[in-house]
Amino acid sequence: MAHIHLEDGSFSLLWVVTWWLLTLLVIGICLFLVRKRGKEKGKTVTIAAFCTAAAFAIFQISIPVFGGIHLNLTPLIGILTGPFLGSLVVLILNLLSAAIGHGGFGMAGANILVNVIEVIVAYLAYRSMKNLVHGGFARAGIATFVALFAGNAAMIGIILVSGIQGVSQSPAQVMYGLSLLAAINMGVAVIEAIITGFVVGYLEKVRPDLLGGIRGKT
Amino acid sequence: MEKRRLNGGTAIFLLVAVLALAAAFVAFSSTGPKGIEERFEDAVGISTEPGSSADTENYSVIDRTGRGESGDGGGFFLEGSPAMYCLILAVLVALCLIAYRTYGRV
Repeated sequence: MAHIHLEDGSFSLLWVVTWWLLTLLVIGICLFLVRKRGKEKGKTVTIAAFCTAAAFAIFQISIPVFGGIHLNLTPLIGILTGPFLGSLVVLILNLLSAAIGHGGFGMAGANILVNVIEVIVAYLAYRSMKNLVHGGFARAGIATFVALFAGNAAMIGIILVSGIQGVSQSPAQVMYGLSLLAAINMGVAVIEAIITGFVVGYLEKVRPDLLGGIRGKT
Repeated sequence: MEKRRLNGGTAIFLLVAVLALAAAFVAFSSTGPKGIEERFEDAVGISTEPGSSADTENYSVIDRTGRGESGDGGGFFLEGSPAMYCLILAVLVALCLIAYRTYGRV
């Protein structure tokens, strides 16, 4: 849901390369850990494939709420597939999005990082609340809020650190503008939290074994 | 005990949702209705003043955001190329079917 909607050229080449290198490092670590943990369970790969298709389908559609928003289901991806496979899913998702013209390839590095943070935070928040909050809906919903808040914070941080080329606004002004944007994003997070909550809550009732993530635990 | 826990979790979720919606409405009232790209450009200070060359370029963006138009889809629209969207989605669905058949039922 947090996605840097700026065209290529907004960041300087140095920062485009920096975010891409960081992204490749993170994805490399995820690939290494996926391989180290051994062969994925077949059902996890299948779930990851379904998550990729569903997220791609919904991610490209602008919904007329607060003037226009879109969902990307990254918290759901994190909860269902785990942090490492989930990171690979958002890599594919962002590259395919850039391929159809939704965002540029230059900005994709930073956007993948933002989405990876959402995936990892959602997974950790969902797991850490296992003994605190009973009920899949509430747990997944709260995890979604936490993850999307972290994603928005990361998005603001990346933009502030990188700076926007050709803009005369001070960092404080940019920070203020992005804070308003993040506040609207968090309102939209309610929709994403409800969707994620219902999906996870339903799966927890009918197929709790699917909520094991990469390690296959529930 | 379990019921109390469940209610607690749902109550926290509802509280967070209400706070998030309140913050969003306050922010929305100060920025007004804008599309995603336009909201981003305004937030970081990219010029979209009427008559500027940037504005001319951004008309396609503004149109795509659906601002001020009802549109055929009731405000819903697709970002990026529709043809590529359909093509990639078809490939992804095919890959899902292959994964489903190869790795067995979920």
